[in-house]
Amino acid sequence: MNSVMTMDEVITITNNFLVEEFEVDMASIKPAAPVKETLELDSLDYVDLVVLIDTHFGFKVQQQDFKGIVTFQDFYNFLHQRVK
Amino acid sequence: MAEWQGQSRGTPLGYKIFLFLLNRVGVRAAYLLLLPVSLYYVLFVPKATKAIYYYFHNRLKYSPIRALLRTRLNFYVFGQTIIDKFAIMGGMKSAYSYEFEGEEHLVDMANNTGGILIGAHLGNWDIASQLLNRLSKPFNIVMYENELENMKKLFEQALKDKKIKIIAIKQDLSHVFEIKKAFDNKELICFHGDRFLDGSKFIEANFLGEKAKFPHGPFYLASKFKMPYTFVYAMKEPALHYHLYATKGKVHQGTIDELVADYVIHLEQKVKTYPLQWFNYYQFWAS
Repeated sequence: MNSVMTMDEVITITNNFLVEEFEVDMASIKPAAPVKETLELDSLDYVDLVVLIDTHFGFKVQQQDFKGIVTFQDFYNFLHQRVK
Repeated sequence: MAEWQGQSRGTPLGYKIFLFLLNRVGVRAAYLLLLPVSLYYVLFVPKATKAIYYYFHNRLKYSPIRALLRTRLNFYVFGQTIIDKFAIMGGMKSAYSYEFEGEEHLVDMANNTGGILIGAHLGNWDIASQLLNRLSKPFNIVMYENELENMKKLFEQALKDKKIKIIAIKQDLSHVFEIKKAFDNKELICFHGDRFLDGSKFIEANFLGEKAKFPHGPFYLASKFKMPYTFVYAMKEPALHYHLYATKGKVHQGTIDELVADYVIHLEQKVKTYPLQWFNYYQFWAS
């Protein structure tokens, strides 16, 4: 997996897999929108999210990583921080 | 409201009284205590009584009188399954006899791919979990945290040193990582396929002639991760006998709705064979 990614690349990859896997409209994914509500994440859907992050970004998410992620911008920041 | 409210009835003190009786007088004598207890529940837990009466009368089409009598009997049998569970956990496994239809499917999954076991609040699932700890791989049971609240300490003690692990669904998402780890290790993961909490995603399906809601999560995981799945039941039969069933492991290729429909077909078959062992004490159907 590429170890250096720009924020734009992170956003593109993330939005693409979210649209495909969680069946949401691209238009509903906005930086300030809440991740959980927008994707309608159930308690078990997070398993899928963890696997998708591993697959697309090549690192394993830890339990504490989800703390503080509320909006898509938080999510992008977290991912970018791990792969930049 | 068709959602389960996230709380199972019963207290640690109540269970301890049963455990005391079991040790002192045995299983059958403990069953006798259930006669007044089951009547108490019918009379003083109206929501549960109404839900089970609805199941017998409206869904299984029993006459009012028969439905009422079966409702009382349902509480009685439910009490028996609780006694059986604690008797077996407490080391009285040999007091019971067992037959296991399809155990080879679970052995195959345990030894090779891992998989998802989907049960129901039908029969005595906890008995199955106690018996399945002889499989070669650790055995994970996913439950809502509230479901365990009252019995958590008792469960932890009973499950000590065994290969069973309970994964509680929690707000802190710790369950996500435990489930992922179990997937990675190709372990068996068990879910109930018939309950969801208010606010959780659900899938509607026609069950016994009326729309009912089923949890999205277990079916989503089985479908998404292409894990082999099997439907598992442990049904109580007369004379301290249990009949366990596991369907052949399948990897689902269709939609989640199709997977739920498959589950419902099997569930209906078992409900019709063992009508007294439906233990969802809340309004299960949409109406």
